[in-house]
Amino acid sequence: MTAPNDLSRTLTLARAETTLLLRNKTATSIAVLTPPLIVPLVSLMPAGAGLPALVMAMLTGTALLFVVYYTLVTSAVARREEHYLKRLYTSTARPVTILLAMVLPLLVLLAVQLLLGFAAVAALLDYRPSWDALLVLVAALLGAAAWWALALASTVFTRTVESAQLTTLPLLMVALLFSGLSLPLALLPDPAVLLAQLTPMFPVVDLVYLGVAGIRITGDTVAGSELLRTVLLDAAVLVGWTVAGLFLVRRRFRWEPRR
Amino acid sequence: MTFSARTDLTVDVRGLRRRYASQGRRGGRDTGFEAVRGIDLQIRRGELYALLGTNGAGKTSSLEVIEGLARPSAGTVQLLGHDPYADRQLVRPRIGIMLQEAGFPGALTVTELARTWQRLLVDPRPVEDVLQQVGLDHRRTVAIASLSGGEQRRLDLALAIMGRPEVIFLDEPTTGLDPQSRRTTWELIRGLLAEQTSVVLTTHYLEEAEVLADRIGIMHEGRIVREGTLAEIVKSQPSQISFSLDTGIDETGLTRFAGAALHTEEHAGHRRLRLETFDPQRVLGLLLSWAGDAIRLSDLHVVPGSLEQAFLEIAASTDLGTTDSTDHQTQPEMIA
Repeated sequence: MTAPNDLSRTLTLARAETTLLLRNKTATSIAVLTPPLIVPLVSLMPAGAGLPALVMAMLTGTALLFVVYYTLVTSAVARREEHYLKRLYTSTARPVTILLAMVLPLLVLLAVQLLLGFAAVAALLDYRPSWDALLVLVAALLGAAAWWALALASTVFTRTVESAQLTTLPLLMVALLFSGLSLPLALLPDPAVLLAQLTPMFPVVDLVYLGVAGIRITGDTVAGSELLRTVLLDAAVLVGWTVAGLFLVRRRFRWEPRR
Repeated sequence: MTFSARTDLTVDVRGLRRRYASQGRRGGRDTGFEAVRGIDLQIRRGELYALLGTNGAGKTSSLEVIEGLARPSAGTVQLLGHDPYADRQLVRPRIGIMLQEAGFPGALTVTELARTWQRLLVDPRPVEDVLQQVGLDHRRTVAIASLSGGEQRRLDLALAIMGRPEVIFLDEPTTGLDPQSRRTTWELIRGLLAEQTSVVLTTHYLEEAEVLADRIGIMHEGRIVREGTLAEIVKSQPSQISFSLDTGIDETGLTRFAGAALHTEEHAGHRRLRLETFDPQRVLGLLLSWAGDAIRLSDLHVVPGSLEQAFLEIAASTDLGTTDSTDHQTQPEMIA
């Protein structure tokens, strides 16, 4: 038996986390079923040529919200409330290893859902991905980082698993309302659209649209250096949310329940 | 290999203080609560140090800093020659920690958790051996949530010893155990000491400290107010000679016993007298000759000074100007 390193410790803890998630039927159902259930509903909406983009954006968005964000908030709070997080904090694993291991099973599920989504879109909507579709990967990776950090930050304000239903609402609402997922951004006044671009789900949806349909979620067509600038801006917003979330986590994250 | 007196020290704590920031109040005067108010602690290899004290005395707050789970507000901690907070990657593989709250995910089975824990360790002992040592081998496939409180405590101990620690922290390891399991745990702790492990133990069972500890520290209001071997601590406590006397018998003669303090308690027409002395043999002789054949000393007890007596005496003393810790909202400094 070789000495464990950070990677092997992450995998060990992720494996235990997977077992725990699978034994929690509620959490498993929400994480596994929400994204694929939402997608067929969207597909019924009139979207014209943009349907593959709409489906993929919807899938990526809901998967980040319900698989990564909501599930991680509830599971992290549950582990904290049963003092398991504090036990892990006493272990040989680094704190960041513990926090990464908790999200790892959720990232695997996210990847599976996105791959299945791509397959379904390609088969049913006759979609042929180009190299631009790699932007969906960028959206998923940076989005996952941002929503991982935001989930950990949300646990700071969440006392119990039950109260997570309430404490996750603000970010869920912001994500749904200002990303173009549920409300057409054209309905918003211009200054609001500008602000919406700084919210943590807009860049994800925007990057998926650029990757799949070649247009922005706002409907603008961008190409050349304008495209590069848009992609970098979206990426910067997601990195910004990641950094902001981790800053709060570093200062305020709790490894044990409040006494 | 020989150890110099210096390298023999596994725990070296100097002037340790820990202050919790108070919640809610921002700005203005710091209304935080200082749970640990300057403790010094040195522990050698193969030594068991028992840290005693009432609830809220600061035992767990001190342990968390010594273990490296939190930063001290002031003072220094050296654990196996390193700062346990800054150098956690160096220190953690060499120590074992058993927290007061076990912290188990109830949905995992005993073996699943034990294997997970084992894979995190650098030089782990076999899971089967460790579970057998704490008497849980027959419960291997049971969900942790189904274990009794005592069984969970023993699982916790199993995980703490799995990494062959050089220093092990046991925060109330036998709470909730039946007398037999408690003795099994004591045997296990003696085994660790024989392997030169340093053991830091907190307990509410004073008998446990009496049986196991090489040295004892009694904490009160954030300070170690008494420290020494059991004999040294008990030496400060007088022996107690107590007996009942029929009413009507004049006890004034007893007050002449030099060096003995006389206490009288009257309860429901029943009179019980107690003599406190550091020379029980002489005072008992005087008492018996005073009574002679005429006076009956019923229910006569001679009890040597005890750890419990010392503990209660310290617990009863209050330091003026301190705040109550029990209902204090605290904010431990444990950050990622």
